Amino acid sequence: MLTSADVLGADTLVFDLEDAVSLQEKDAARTLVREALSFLSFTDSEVTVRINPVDSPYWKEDLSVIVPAKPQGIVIPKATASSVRLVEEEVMKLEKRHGIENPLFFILIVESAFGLFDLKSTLEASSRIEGLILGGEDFTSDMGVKRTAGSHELLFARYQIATAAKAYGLDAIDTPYTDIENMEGLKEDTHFSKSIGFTGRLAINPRQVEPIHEVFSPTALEIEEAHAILLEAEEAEKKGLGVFSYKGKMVDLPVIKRAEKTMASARKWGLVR
Amino acid sequence: MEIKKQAVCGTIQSNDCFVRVTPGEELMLHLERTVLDAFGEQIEKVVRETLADLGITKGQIFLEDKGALDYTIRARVETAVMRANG
Repeated sequence: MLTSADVLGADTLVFDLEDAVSLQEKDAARTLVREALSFLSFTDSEVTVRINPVDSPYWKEDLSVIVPAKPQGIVIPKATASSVRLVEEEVMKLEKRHGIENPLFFILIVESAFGLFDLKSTLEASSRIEGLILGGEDFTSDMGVKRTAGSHELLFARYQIATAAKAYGLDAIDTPYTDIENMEGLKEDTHFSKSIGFTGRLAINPRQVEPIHEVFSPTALEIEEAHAILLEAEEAEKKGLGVFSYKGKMVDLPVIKRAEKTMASARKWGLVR
Repeated sequence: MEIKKQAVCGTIQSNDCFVRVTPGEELMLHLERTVLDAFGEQIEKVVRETLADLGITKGQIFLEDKGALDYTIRARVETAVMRANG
Protein backbone atom coordinates (compact mmCIF):
# COMPACT_ATOMS: atom_id res chain seq x y z
CA MET A 1 0.00 0.00 0.00
CA LEU A 2 2.95 2.38 0.61
CA THR A 3 4.09 2.07 -2.99
CA SER A 4 0.66 2.68 -4.49
CA ALA A 5 -0.43 5.31 -1.96
CA ASP A 6 0.05 8.27 -4.28
CA VAL A 7 -2.42 7.01 -6.89
CA LEU A 8 -5.27 6.45 -4.46
CA GLY A 9 -6.56 9.99 -4.83
CA ALA A 10 -6.41 11.05 -1.20
CA ASP A 11 -5.52 14.65 -0.41
CA THR A 12 -3.36 13.61 2.53
CA LEU A 13 -1.74 10.27 3.29
CA VAL A 14 -1.16 9.20 6.87
CA PHE A 15 1.55 6.56 7.27
CA ASP A 16 0.80 4.98 10.59
CA LEU A 17 3.37 4.01 13.20
CA GLU A 18 0.77 3.76 15.97
CA ASP A 19 -2.27 1.52 16.09
CA ALA A 20 -1.62 -0.27 12.79
CA VAL A 21 1.76 -1.51 14.02
CA SER A 22 2.31 -4.18 16.66
CA LEU A 23 4.71 -3.43 19.50
CA GLN A 24 7.24 -5.92 18.11
CA GLU A 25 7.34 -4.21 14.74
CA LYS A 26 7.65 -0.52 15.71
CA ASP A 27 11.31 -0.47 14.66
CA ALA A 28 10.59 -2.12 11.30
CA ALA A 29 7.68 0.20 10.57
CA ARG A 30 9.57 3.43 11.16
CA THR A 31 12.52 2.27 9.04
CA LEU A 32 10.21 1.18 6.23
CA VAL A 33 8.34 4.50 6.27
CA ARG A 34 11.64 6.41 6.33
CA GLU A 35 12.87 4.52 3.29
CA ALA A 36 9.54 4.96 1.50
CA LEU A 37 9.63 8.73 2.08
CA SER A 38 13.16 8.89 0.71
CA PHE A 39 12.55 6.67 -2.32
CA LEU A 40 9.00 7.29 -3.51
CA SER A 41 7.64 10.44 -5.13
CA PHE A 42 4.34 11.75 -3.88
CA THR A 43 2.95 14.22 -6.36
CA ASP A 44 -0.80 14.10 -5.75
CA SER A 45 -0.99 13.80 -1.98
CA GLU A 46 0.48 15.46 1.07
CA VAL A 47 2.41 12.98 3.20
CA THR A 48 2.14 12.79 6.96
CA VAL A 49 3.17 10.24 9.55
CA ARG A 50 1.20 9.34 12.65
CA ILE A 51 3.69 8.86 15.48
CA ASN A 52 3.09 7.02 18.72
CA PRO A 53 1.63 9.01 21.62
CA VAL A 54 3.95 10.82 24.01
CA ASP A 55 3.02 8.48 26.86
CA SER A 56 4.59 5.60 24.88
CA PRO A 57 8.32 4.74 24.73
CA TYR A 58 8.32 5.07 20.93
CA TRP A 59 7.48 8.65 20.00
CA LYS A 60 10.93 10.20 20.25
CA GLU A 61 12.52 7.48 18.17
CA ASP A 62 9.65 7.82 15.67
CA LEU A 63 10.44 11.50 15.23
CA SER A 64 14.22 11.03 15.14
CA VAL A 65 13.87 8.54 12.27
CA ILE A 66 10.99 10.16 10.38
CA VAL A 67 11.61 13.92 10.56
CA PRO A 68 14.89 13.78 8.58
CA ALA A 69 12.97 11.98 5.82
CA LYS A 70 10.89 15.14 5.51
CA PRO A 71 7.25 14.22 5.50
CA GLN A 72 5.12 17.33 5.19
CA GLY A 73 3.41 16.81 8.50
CA ILE A 74 3.14 14.83 11.69
CA VAL A 75 -0.13 13.44 13.03
CA ILE A 76 -0.17 13.60 16.81
CA PRO A 77 -2.45 11.05 18.48
CA LYS A 78 -4.14 11.61 21.85
CA ALA A 79 -3.43 15.29 21.44
CA THR A 80 -3.41 17.59 24.45
CA ALA A 81 -1.69 20.93 25.01
CA SER A 82 1.25 19.30 26.77
CA SER A 83 1.71 16.53 24.18
CA VAL A 84 1.66 19.06 21.34
CA ARG A 85 4.29 21.19 23.07
CA LEU A 86 6.51 18.16 23.70
CA VAL A 87 6.29 17.05 20.08
CA GLU A 88 6.94 20.54 18.77
CA GLU A 89 10.02 20.90 20.96
CA GLU A 90 11.43 17.64 19.64
CA VAL A 91 10.53 18.41 16.01
CA MET A 92 12.19 21.82 16.21
CA LYS A 93 15.43 20.26 17.49
CA LEU A 94 15.41 17.75 14.65
CA GLU A 95 14.59 20.35 12.00
CA LYS A 96 17.52 22.45 13.18
CA ARG A 97 19.88 19.49 13.38
CA HIS A 98 19.04 18.33 9.88
CA GLY A 99 18.74 21.76 8.25
CA ILE A 100 15.08 21.33 7.40
CA GLU A 101 13.82 24.68 6.15
CA ASN A 102 10.12 23.95 5.65
CA PRO A 103 8.63 23.38 9.10
CA LEU A 104 6.50 20.28 9.44
CA PHE A 105 2.83 20.96 10.13
CA PHE A 106 0.75 19.13 12.72
CA ILE A 107 -2.57 17.42 12.51
CA LEU A 108 -4.02 16.56 15.89
CA ILE A 109 -6.18 13.61 16.78
CA VAL A 110 -8.54 14.33 19.65
CA GLU A 111 -9.54 11.01 21.15
CA SER A 112 -10.25 11.45 24.83
CA ALA A 113 -12.75 13.24 27.03
CA PHE A 114 -10.03 15.49 28.40
CA GLY A 115 -8.66 16.17 24.91
CA LEU A 116 -12.09 17.34 23.80
CA PHE A 117 -12.75 19.31 26.96
CA ASP A 118 -9.44 21.16 26.78
CA LEU A 119 -9.46 21.83 23.04
CA LYS A 120 -8.84 25.55 23.27
CA SER A 121 -5.57 25.07 25.21
CA THR A 122 -4.51 22.35 22.81
CA LEU A 123 -5.15 24.43 19.70
CA GLU A 124 -3.21 27.32 21.18
CA ALA A 125 -0.21 25.11 22.00
CA SER A 126 1.38 25.46 18.57
CA SER A 127 1.14 27.57 15.44
CA ARG A 128 1.93 24.50 13.32
CA ILE A 129 -1.50 22.96 13.73
CA GLU A 130 -3.38 22.73 10.43
CA GLY A 131 -5.99 20.11 11.09
CA LEU A 132 -8.07 18.46 13.75
CA ILE A 133 -9.27 14.87 13.60
CA LEU A 134 -11.82 13.18 15.82
CA GLY A 135 -10.59 9.74 16.87
CA GLY A 136 -14.00 8.20 17.37
CA GLU A 137 -13.00 4.69 18.47
CA ASP A 138 -10.57 5.78 21.19
CA PHE A 139 -12.89 8.59 22.25
CA THR A 140 -15.82 6.24 22.88
CA SER A 141 -13.48 3.83 24.63
CA ASP A 142 -12.29 6.64 26.91
CA MET A 143 -15.87 7.67 27.58
CA GLY A 144 -16.78 4.08 28.42
CA VAL A 145 -19.64 4.08 25.92
CA LYS A 146 -20.55 1.71 23.14
CA ARG A 147 -19.81 2.52 19.52
CA THR A 148 -23.01 2.24 17.48
CA ALA A 149 -23.91 2.22 13.80
CA GLY A 150 -25.79 5.50 14.18
CA SER A 151 -22.84 7.20 15.97
CA HIS A 152 -25.10 9.26 18.24
CA GLU A 153 -22.51 8.76 20.99
CA LEU A 154 -20.16 10.92 18.93
CA LEU A 155 -22.56 13.77 18.22
CA PHE A 156 -21.29 16.20 20.82
CA ALA A 157 -17.67 15.49 19.98
CA ARG A 158 -18.26 15.92 16.25
CA TYR A 159 -19.96 19.28 16.70
CA GLN A 160 -17.22 20.38 19.09
CA ILE A 161 -14.38 19.40 16.73
CA ALA A 162 -15.99 20.99 13.66
CA THR A 163 -16.70 24.22 15.55
CA ALA A 164 -13.27 24.48 17.18
CA ALA A 165 -11.53 23.82 13.86
CA LYS A 166 -13.57 26.56 12.21
CA ALA A 167 -12.82 28.97 15.06
CA TYR A 168 -9.08 28.45 14.59
CA GLY A 169 -9.10 28.26 10.78
CA LEU A 170 -8.18 24.58 10.64
CA ASP A 171 -9.33 21.63 8.60
CA ALA A 172 -11.89 19.56 10.48
CA ILE A 173 -11.48 15.89 9.61
CA ASP A 174 -14.16 13.48 10.72
CA THR A 175 -13.56 10.07 12.25
CA PRO A 176 -13.42 7.10 9.86
CA TYR A 177 -16.53 5.24 8.88
CA THR A 178 -15.51 1.78 9.97
CA ASP A 179 -17.99 -0.36 8.01
CA ILE A 180 -15.92 -0.59 4.83
CA GLU A 181 -18.55 -2.68 3.01
CA ASN A 182 -21.32 -0.11 3.47
CA MET A 183 -20.79 2.61 0.84
CA GLU A 184 -24.30 4.02 1.20
CA GLY A 185 -23.85 4.33 4.95
CA LEU A 186 -20.51 6.05 4.38
CA LYS A 187 -22.05 8.60 2.00
CA GLU A 188 -24.99 9.31 4.29
CA ASP A 189 -22.76 9.75 7.33
CA THR A 190 -20.30 11.88 5.36
CA HIS A 191 -23.12 14.16 4.21
CA PHE A 192 -23.85 14.65 7.89
CA SER A 193 -20.15 15.41 8.55
CA LYS A 194 -20.20 18.08 5.86
CA SER A 195 -23.49 19.54 7.08
CA ILE A 196 -22.04 20.32 10.52
CA GLY A 197 -18.83 21.87 9.26
CA PHE A 198 -16.29 19.13 8.68
CA THR A 199 -14.06 19.77 5.68
CA GLY A 200 -12.85 16.22 5.19
CA ARG A 201 -12.87 12.70 6.50
CA LEU A 202 -10.39 9.92 7.23
CA ALA A 203 -10.61 6.94 4.89
CA ILE A 204 -9.47 3.56 6.13
CA ASN A 205 -9.84 1.79 2.80
CA PRO A 206 -8.99 3.02 -0.71
CA ARG A 207 -12.59 2.37 -1.82
CA GLN A 208 -13.76 5.07 0.57
CA VAL A 209 -11.75 7.87 -1.04
CA GLU A 210 -13.99 8.59 -4.02
CA PRO A 211 -17.31 8.59 -2.11
CA ILE A 212 -15.80 10.95 0.45
CA HIS A 213 -14.52 13.25 -2.29
CA GLU A 214 -17.94 13.25 -3.95
CA VAL A 215 -19.56 14.49 -0.77
CA PHE A 216 -17.05 17.19 0.09
CA SER A 217 -16.51 18.64 -3.36
CA PRO A 218 -19.05 21.23 -4.55
CA THR A 219 -21.61 20.09 -7.13
CA ALA A 220 -21.64 21.46 -10.67
CA LEU A 221 -24.79 23.41 -9.80
CA GLU A 222 -23.19 24.90 -6.68
CA ILE A 223 -20.13 25.93 -8.68
CA GLU A 224 -22.25 27.45 -11.46
CA GLU A 225 -24.31 29.42 -8.98
CA ALA A 226 -21.28 30.60 -7.01
CA HIS A 227 -19.57 31.73 -10.20
CA ALA A 228 -22.67 33.62 -11.31
CA ILE A 229 -23.07 35.31 -7.92
CA LEU A 230 -19.45 36.46 -7.98
CA LEU A 231 -19.87 37.93 -11.48
CA GLU A 232 -23.00 39.77 -10.34
CA ALA A 233 -21.17 40.93 -7.21
CA GLU A 234 -18.43 42.41 -9.40
CA GLU A 235 -21.00 44.33 -11.42
CA ALA A 236 -22.79 45.48 -8.26
CA GLU A 237 -19.54 46.75 -6.79
CA LYS A 238 -18.87 48.81 -9.91
CA LYS A 239 -22.26 50.41 -9.44
CA GLY A 240 -21.52 51.06 -5.76
CA LEU A 241 -24.16 48.61 -4.55
CA GLY A 242 -23.53 46.62 -1.32
CA VAL A 243 -26.59 44.40 -1.73
CA PHE A 244 -28.23 43.09 -4.88
CA SER A 245 -30.73 40.53 -6.03
CA TYR A 246 -29.89 37.22 -7.74
CA LYS A 247 -32.72 34.96 -8.93
CA GLY A 248 -35.10 36.78 -6.63
CA LYS A 249 -32.96 36.37 -3.52
CA MET A 250 -31.03 39.03 -1.67
CA VAL A 251 -27.28 38.70 -1.97
CA ASP A 252 -25.20 40.42 0.70
CA LEU A 253 -21.67 39.97 2.01
CA PRO A 254 -22.14 36.57 3.77
CA VAL A 255 -23.63 35.11 0.58
CA ILE A 256 -20.73 36.49 -1.47
CA LYS A 257 -18.21 35.03 0.98
CA ARG A 258 -19.94 31.66 0.79
CA ALA A 259 -19.71 31.82 -3.01
CA GLU A 260 -16.00 32.63 -2.75
CA LYS A 261 -15.47 29.62 -0.49
CA THR A 262 -17.35 27.40 -2.91
CA MET A 263 -15.08 28.51 -5.76
CA ALA A 264 -11.99 28.04 -3.57
CA SER A 265 -13.18 24.54 -2.73
CA ALA A 266 -13.84 23.84 -6.42
CA ARG A 267 -10.31 24.93 -7.27
CA LYS A 268 -8.92 22.83 -4.41
CA TRP A 269 -10.71 19.72 -5.69
CA GLY A 270 -9.53 20.47 -9.23
CA LEU A 271 -13.04 21.07 -10.53
CA VAL A 272 -12.24 24.49 -11.97
CA ARG A 273 -8.98 26.17 -12.85
CA MET B 1 28.15 -3.05 13.89
CA GLU B 2 28.00 -6.83 13.78
CA ILE B 3 25.50 -9.63 13.56
CA LYS B 4 25.65 -11.11 17.04
CA LYS B 5 22.57 -13.33 16.93
CA GLN B 6 19.84 -14.50 14.60
CA ALA B 7 17.16 -11.95 13.75
CA VAL B 8 14.40 -11.65 11.20
CA CYS B 9 12.38 -8.89 9.59
CA GLY B 10 9.67 -8.62 6.94
CA THR B 11 7.00 -10.94 5.62
CA ILE B 12 6.29 -13.17 2.66
CA GLN B 13 3.38 -11.03 1.56
CA SER B 14 3.34 -9.63 -1.95
CA ASN B 15 5.71 -6.67 -2.49
CA ASP B 16 7.64 -7.47 0.70
CA CYS B 17 10.64 -9.64 1.51
CA PHE B 18 11.56 -11.81 4.46
CA VAL B 19 15.07 -11.37 5.78
CA ARG B 20 16.89 -13.60 8.23
CA VAL B 21 20.41 -12.83 9.42
CA THR B 22 22.67 -15.07 11.47
CA PRO B 23 26.28 -14.74 12.66
CA GLY B 24 28.99 -16.09 10.37
CA GLU B 25 32.72 -15.98 9.72
CA GLU B 26 32.30 -14.49 6.26
CA LEU B 27 29.63 -12.54 4.40
CA MET B 28 27.32 -14.86 2.50
CA LEU B 29 24.07 -13.99 0.76
CA HIS B 30 21.34 -16.52 0.08
CA LEU B 31 18.64 -15.02 -2.15
CA GLU B 32 15.39 -16.68 -3.01
CA ARG B 33 13.08 -14.82 -5.31
CA THR B 34 9.79 -15.21 -7.07
CA VAL B 35 10.53 -12.66 -9.78
CA LEU B 36 12.62 -13.02 -12.93
CA ASP B 37 16.32 -13.60 -12.54
CA ALA B 38 16.80 -10.21 -14.16
CA PHE B 39 16.21 -8.67 -10.76
CA GLY B 40 18.56 -10.98 -8.90
CA GLU B 41 21.61 -8.82 -9.50
CA GLN B 42 19.79 -5.67 -8.45
CA ILE B 43 18.52 -7.29 -5.25
CA GLU B 44 22.00 -8.52 -4.39
CA LYS B 45 23.42 -5.04 -5.10
CA VAL B 46 20.89 -3.38 -2.78
CA VAL B 47 21.54 -5.91 -0.02
CA ARG B 48 25.32 -5.53 -0.25
CA GLU B 49 25.09 -1.72 -0.31
CA THR B 50 22.85 -1.73 2.74
CA LEU B 51 25.18 -4.06 4.62
CA ALA B 52 28.16 -1.92 3.68
CA ASP B 53 26.39 1.22 4.92
CA LEU B 54 25.82 -0.54 8.23
CA GLY B 55 29.45 -1.72 8.43
CA ILE B 56 28.56 -5.39 8.22
CA THR B 57 31.41 -7.50 6.86
CA LYS B 58 30.41 -10.94 8.01
CA GLY B 59 27.27 -12.97 8.56
CA GLN B 60 24.76 -15.12 6.73
CA ILE B 61 21.98 -13.19 5.05
CA PHE B 62 18.90 -15.09 3.87
CA LEU B 63 16.40 -13.13 1.82
CA GLU B 64 13.15 -14.42 0.35
CA ASP B 65 11.84 -11.84 -2.08
CA LYS B 66 8.17 -11.44 -2.99
CA GLY B 67 8.56 -8.55 -5.42
CA ALA B 68 9.89 -5.97 -2.97
CA LEU B 69 11.16 -2.67 -4.33
CA ASP B 70 14.64 -1.48 -3.38
CA TYR B 71 13.43 0.69 -0.51
CA THR B 72 11.64 -2.24 1.11
CA ILE B 73 14.69 -4.48 0.78
CA ARG B 74 16.89 -1.80 2.35
CA ALA B 75 14.47 -1.27 5.21
CA ARG B 76 14.07 -4.97 5.97
CA VAL B 77 17.80 -5.72 5.83
CA GLU B 78 18.59 -2.73 8.04
CA THR B 79 16.00 -3.67 10.64
CA ALA B 80 17.11 -7.33 10.72
CA VAL B 81 20.72 -6.26 11.21
CA MET B 82 19.81 -3.78 13.95
CA ARG B 83 17.84 -6.49 15.74
CA ALA B 84 20.78 -8.86 15.40
CA ASN B 85 23.13 -6.27 16.85
CA GLY B 86 21.08 -5.45 19.92
